[in-house]
Amino acid sequence: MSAYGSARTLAACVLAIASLTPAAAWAQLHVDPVASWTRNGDLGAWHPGGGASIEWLSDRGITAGGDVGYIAGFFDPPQGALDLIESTHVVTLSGQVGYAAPWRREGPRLRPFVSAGVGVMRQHARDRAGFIDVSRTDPAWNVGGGTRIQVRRYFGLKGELRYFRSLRAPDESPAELTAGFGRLGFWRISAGGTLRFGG
Amino acid sequence: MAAMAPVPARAQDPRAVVEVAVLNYLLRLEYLQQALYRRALTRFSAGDFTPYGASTWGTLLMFEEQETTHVATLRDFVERLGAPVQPDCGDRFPRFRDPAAFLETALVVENAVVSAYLGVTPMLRLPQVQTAVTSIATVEARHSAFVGFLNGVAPAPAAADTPRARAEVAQLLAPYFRSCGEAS
Repeated sequence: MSAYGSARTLAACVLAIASLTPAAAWAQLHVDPVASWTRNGDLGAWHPGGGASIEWLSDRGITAGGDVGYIAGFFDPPQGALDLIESTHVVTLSGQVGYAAPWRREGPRLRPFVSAGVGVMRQHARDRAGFIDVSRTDPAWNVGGGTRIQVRRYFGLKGELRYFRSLRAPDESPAELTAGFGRLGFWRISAGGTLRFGG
Repeated sequence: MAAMAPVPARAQDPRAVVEVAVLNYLLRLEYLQQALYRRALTRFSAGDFTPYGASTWGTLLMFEEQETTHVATLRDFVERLGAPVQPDCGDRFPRFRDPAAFLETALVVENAVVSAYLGVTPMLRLPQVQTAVTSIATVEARHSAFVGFLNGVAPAPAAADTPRARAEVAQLLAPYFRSCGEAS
């Protein structure tokens, strides 16, 4: 599946959900700026990052939205002092649909959610000597969940755990030495605020 | 070490960037060692090294062949990773006045190279590259021990060698590196 194909599929899903849901039911819009920590399992290291998401939540709990994330130094070796790498990073751009527990005016102000989506995963790495400068964009899927905590009427906190995985087959790699790497996948923990509009 | 214009690599997996960077960095060091032994073997004769032992000349010939093999091995790995190979930019070794001057320089170079290998080995993740680099590193340590012995230094002066970062190694070997594009 190409990246463009994935984006088209996602857009179709969002439109389908929108067409099945009465317009009046689109009760809330959330904008969530977050800080993140992403695990590179190959290196056994966590990398800082950040991002933001925007999500519509219907009264019936159906959610649809998009998410952008940046992970700094994702391919950097843990021995960072050995200065051979100029810069590496991963950017994720995806759309998700899912379900969130309805708001309750009484009781706990927690709103757990789960969602899944597709998008693209752009990877970049450049060495300091200038011999290799690789950028690659893979279609990718993701699944995750978390919770929002309402602190004020229009402001809250959000925590999320999400798994991303490339959809590009490993045997598309032209080098047999790297064929054993497998598809790139990683866990991301994020935490931040949530701004609520409407509802 | 001179920076060059980035070349888009054919290897499209960014996870190979560390391997490519390490291999090209080590390749630069191997070119330097190859040049060092070639200069000595061209400049001197077997008789010049007789005071150091009957087998010394033959051993230095073997070292030069091994450095050539190291160069070929590292180049092969970079090519198999689909990345541009570090070119040999030459060296700035002086005309050695006697075997002692050569051996003194060789000790500096070999010790720096051993610490460079030690510094990068933990960064490698591809098993084939790990094995190749480690097996070259142990041979470099033997070179260092032999050259140290010829210099009157203990072959293994410490219980453990010191890993060094690229910048430290570049500083130690700066007098001998020639930048790509620099007139010879």
